Amino acid sequence: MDKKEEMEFVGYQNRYPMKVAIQVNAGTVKELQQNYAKLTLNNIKRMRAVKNRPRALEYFDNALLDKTARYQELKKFKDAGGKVIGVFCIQVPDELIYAAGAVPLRLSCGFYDTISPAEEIIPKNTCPLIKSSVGFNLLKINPLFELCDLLIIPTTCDGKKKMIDVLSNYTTVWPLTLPDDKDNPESRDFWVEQIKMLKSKLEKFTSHSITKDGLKNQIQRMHKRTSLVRKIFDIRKDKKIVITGRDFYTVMQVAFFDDIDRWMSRVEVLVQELINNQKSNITMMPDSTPRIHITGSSLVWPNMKLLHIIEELNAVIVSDDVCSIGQYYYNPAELDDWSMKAMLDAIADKYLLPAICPIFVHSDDRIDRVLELVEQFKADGVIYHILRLCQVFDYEFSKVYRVLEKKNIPILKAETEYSEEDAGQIKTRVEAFIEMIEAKK
Amino acid sequence: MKTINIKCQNKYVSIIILFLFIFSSHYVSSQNDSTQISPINSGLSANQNVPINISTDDSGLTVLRGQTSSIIIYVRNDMSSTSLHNVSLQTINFSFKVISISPKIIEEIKPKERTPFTINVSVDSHTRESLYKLNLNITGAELASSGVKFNTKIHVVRKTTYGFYVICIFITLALLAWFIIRMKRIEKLATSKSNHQIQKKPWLFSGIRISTWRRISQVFFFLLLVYGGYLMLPQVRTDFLPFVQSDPNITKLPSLNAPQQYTEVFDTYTPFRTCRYMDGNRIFRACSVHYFTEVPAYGVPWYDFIPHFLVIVLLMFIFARVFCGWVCPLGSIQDFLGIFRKWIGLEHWSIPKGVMNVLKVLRIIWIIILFILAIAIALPLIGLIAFKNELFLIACQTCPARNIFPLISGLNPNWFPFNDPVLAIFSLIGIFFLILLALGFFGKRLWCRFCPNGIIQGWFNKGSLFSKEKDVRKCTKCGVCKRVCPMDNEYVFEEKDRKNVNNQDCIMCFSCVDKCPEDECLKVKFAGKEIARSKYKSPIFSSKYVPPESNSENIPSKPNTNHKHHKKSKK
Amino acid sequence: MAVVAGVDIGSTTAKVVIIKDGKPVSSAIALTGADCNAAAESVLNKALAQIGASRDELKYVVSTGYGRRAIDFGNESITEISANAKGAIYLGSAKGQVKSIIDVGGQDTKAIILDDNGRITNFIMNDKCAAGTGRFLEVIARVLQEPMDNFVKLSIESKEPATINSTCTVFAESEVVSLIAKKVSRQDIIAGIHKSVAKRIADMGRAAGIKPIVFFDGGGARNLALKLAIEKELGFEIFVPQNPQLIVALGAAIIAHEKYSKSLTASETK
Repeated sequence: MDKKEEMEFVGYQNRYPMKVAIQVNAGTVKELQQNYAKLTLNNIKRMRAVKNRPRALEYFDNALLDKTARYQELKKFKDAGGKVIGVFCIQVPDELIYAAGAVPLRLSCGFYDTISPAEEIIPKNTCPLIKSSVGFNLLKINPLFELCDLLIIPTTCDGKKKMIDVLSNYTTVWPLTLPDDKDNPESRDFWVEQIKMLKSKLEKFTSHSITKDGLKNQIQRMHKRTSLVRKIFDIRKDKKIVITGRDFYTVMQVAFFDDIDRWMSRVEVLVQELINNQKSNITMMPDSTPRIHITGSSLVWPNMKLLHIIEELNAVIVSDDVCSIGQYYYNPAELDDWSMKAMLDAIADKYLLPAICPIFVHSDDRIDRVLELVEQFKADGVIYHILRLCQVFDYEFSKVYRVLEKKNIPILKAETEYSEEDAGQIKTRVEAFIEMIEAKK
Repeated sequence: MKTINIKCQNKYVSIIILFLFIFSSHYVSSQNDSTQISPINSGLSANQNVPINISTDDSGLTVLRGQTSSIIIYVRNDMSSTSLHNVSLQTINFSFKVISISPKIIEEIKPKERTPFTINVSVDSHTRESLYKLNLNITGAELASSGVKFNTKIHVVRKTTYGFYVICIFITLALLAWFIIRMKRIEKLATSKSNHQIQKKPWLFSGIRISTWRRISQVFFFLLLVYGGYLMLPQVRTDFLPFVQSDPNITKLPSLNAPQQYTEVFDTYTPFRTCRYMDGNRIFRACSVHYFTEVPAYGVPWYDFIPHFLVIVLLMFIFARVFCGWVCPLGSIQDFLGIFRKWIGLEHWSIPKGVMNVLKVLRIIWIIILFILAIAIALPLIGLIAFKNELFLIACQTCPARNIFPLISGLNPNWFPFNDPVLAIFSLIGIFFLILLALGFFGKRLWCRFCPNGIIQGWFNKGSLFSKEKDVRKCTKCGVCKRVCPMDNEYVFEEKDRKNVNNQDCIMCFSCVDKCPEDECLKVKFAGKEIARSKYKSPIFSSKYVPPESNSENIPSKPNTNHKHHKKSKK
Repeated sequence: MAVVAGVDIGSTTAKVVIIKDGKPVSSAIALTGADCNAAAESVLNKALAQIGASRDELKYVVSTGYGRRAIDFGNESITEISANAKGAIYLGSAKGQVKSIIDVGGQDTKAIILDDNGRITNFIMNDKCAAGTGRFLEVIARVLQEPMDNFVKLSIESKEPATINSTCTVFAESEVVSLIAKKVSRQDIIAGIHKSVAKRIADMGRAAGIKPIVFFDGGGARNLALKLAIEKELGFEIFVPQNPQLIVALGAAIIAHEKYSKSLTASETK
């Protein structure tokens, strides 16, 4: 779109555009793609090694192994006039995007090899997730990235904020301003205004107005999605372990890019199988396996290093409050009045108030959530995962640690990143932690 | 008013005492008076016997309202030898319209004989079913010049119709049908092979949401309180407290006009938001605000005043503002308007926060003014007695119920008067409140924030037996509770330290508990015992999945022999 | 009659402790070199030879340490953290209940916190950076061309330790050289190096929640100067056992003994 249109949409004009491409040759790109495919396959093989893995998970494995089918689907959708919108983080309202006739695509990535190419345009000392995602998408290792007409990025942490500026050199980016203090009533009003602005911008972008009925349908559809995730949570509360943390992680990672109705129907099939397995006592791990709750920095595909370490040392991840796994679809938008104002209020509240992202000023809500999940799922210990240089999670660690210590809940700080060089050290720590837990039981 | 916190056991004891108190003193004195009626003022000297007596048939003193009935009074000559001449009968200070007394004069009543007088009275259809005094004066040639006075009571009743019984039968049949269908459905669910397993049989009322119960209660009480009279429900005899006598000069129902003196039976008031402006033999007399503003105006004696006061306070203590959310017909009207708007799909609108904050301050001032004025018209100190007519029952004059209830129960509302400057001010205030009530169309209860009855009950909310409890850890801070609250109450959302989240503005509708998507986060407790809780309502799965409990019939895991072999993968 | 062994394969040295009839009877230390398995075999045989036992009598072996998975004759492996705790509690302290352990090894340093029952409640490892480990001291000793015993002696003689600013071992080297050029005495430089290491260790301990009685083991515990420096930083006494290098292997052996005894009673009751 031309400058004037762009300014209208985005609200600012990039006066010093930096059209610097990441300089790699085609051979490198091919190598990276192959590495990515190999890593994905390796992850899935390791997960399949556990006995009694539910067969319904095969669909999710295949979806991750081969994205070309999805690519074709989205291409057809675009040729018919649809728009594809790339998003980051969890604060962008899916309901509005779907109601406007577009499809959201979450673009985060956890691939180690795309980090160093990205360091050309992004500083070295920053979150590996951001570096990896930028490299992954701009180098087109992600086949779906080129279908994105637009990116919407909420201003969560420092890295994401500056990523908006960097990526605006390559494609249209809409920032979605998130207030830093959600306990403040004025912040909530501000956020509602942002949502309203986003709604009108989306309507103009897709030339598809958001009607009351349309939005109502989407809210109900997203609520169905929530209820499926909560059902799996219910199943995992039991001491019979029919699904491991890694499998649940796979299911949620597929939701980043897959067609939502198909994903929901497949998860329903999975839920049936899990319920049957629990009844017939077909478990993946014995009942006495130490139960771990994971919290902390985001874990995105294909970064499964910590998860593999934990579960291959004979512990099981029963719950988590990581934004890309357990918190992703957890909160519904409940309302009893289907007027447009009430729906927008409900959507705004859904994405702001229950969010336990540490980019907000206070961390008490997150501590409530960790304590509650540890109690509900009867977790024996908490592993606090921090990505190197993720400041916000690091800050919160000391408070979480002190609260849990007072309540005699064991907690381990696992600070790591995507490379495999510290795998041995992490393994020692996790193993010692598991021994510690088992001695306590 | 300080609220008192009583422990659970004491709460139970106090409830039992209250009910014993009410029920033990509740007796219906509907027997007719004896047929012999004694004179009150014979007009003769004490040592002379009264030469006449009056009597009546058993049914002779019962009249039907809404039509002309006859009262037959027998005048009997008790003298042994003398006849009475030129005997006539008059009524004195009779509440109803006497059409005729026939015969007008009787020339002679022979000794030991009796003659009937027929009094044709016309009783208005809106007259309350009760006993009314009938004062008679009998004049005759042999009697004293001022006549012999007698008084008795006539019983005004209404025509029996069978509407009540029809409705009762209908309701019973409906309940029976619902019960049968529900039991069948539970059987089907429990024995089905569906994979969405329900582990134990749900009980009869499971799955019915709190909001459904509340709607049922609101409709029920609306019909009962507004139209109960028409439905021929037997009137609750409110003069049942043993040491309270009904005033002999009981007057007709003065629906809309303020009575100028304390002439009415001082019945029991309850916080049930029934209104004195409703017609049709209303079930209870009036709301507690009427009581609180009427008592100072009349200078009611303490023995009349204390028991009713205790009853009101005790009921408020138990139920606090549950009346507002579940019973009050005025609140129900606002909710019904909201439902109507949702049904026709109109857009939602809300009062801006700044305006609401200002109004919140104003309402405190309004309450203080009300009470000052209520007392002021009785005390000479403030010099407002001259305005007694206009300031009488201001709470009632400015309440929107004053016009709405007559409208919906068939009376002429006599809309807000503007003929007097003081009345005009109150009429403007009344119109303002009426508009607030009508704005309930947009979904929130605005009048309820100003209702004096509600505010008084709100003071009891914090120590009430009904309480809402919140578990902060389970709360995901999603904000639904403050979005759906009809009173725009943010307290449940904001309170993070205390467990008990009652506050003064809450009308105990429990919408927050109903809508909360986290299991067991919000609970409703009565006297410490839980009666309802929040849970997640899944649109896909019919009930919460309960995993199978492990029992010995399951295949046990392999026995632990020797030492564990850790077959960890070698890296 | 039952002979069990605990094998600790560290990055620098491999250690073995043998327990017979519930009491530690022999031990051996050797350099690990490149082949963990061979080193473990040889040191195990050495320890067995000391009591004249053969491999067949060995009933249970628990391996621990960096190379615990590399050996193929172990029955079980546990982390060195659990083994260290076990060993420290077994030895105990005359002064009271052991509440914390500091383990200064060749390539890493650990702080382990115990509760009243001897169970681990928290631990912090520093295995990413050489500063604060024994490696740091070795490097500086090599730069100054001092044998280790003299190195320690000189440090104790110092009255006023120099301040070393560099956090990184590599850069600390050059700082030491510049200090020598400024004519700072060797004692003060070496004491300053010890102080720098001790400070890092004390910070780590405090972050973990260290509290007396503190047990100081690992190879670095043989360094008296380091012990004194750590005590100065922490502000209270720490205790060094007789063979600080062997504590982890001892702990592994104790676990082997416990496991074996349990399996014996289990098989007896069957």
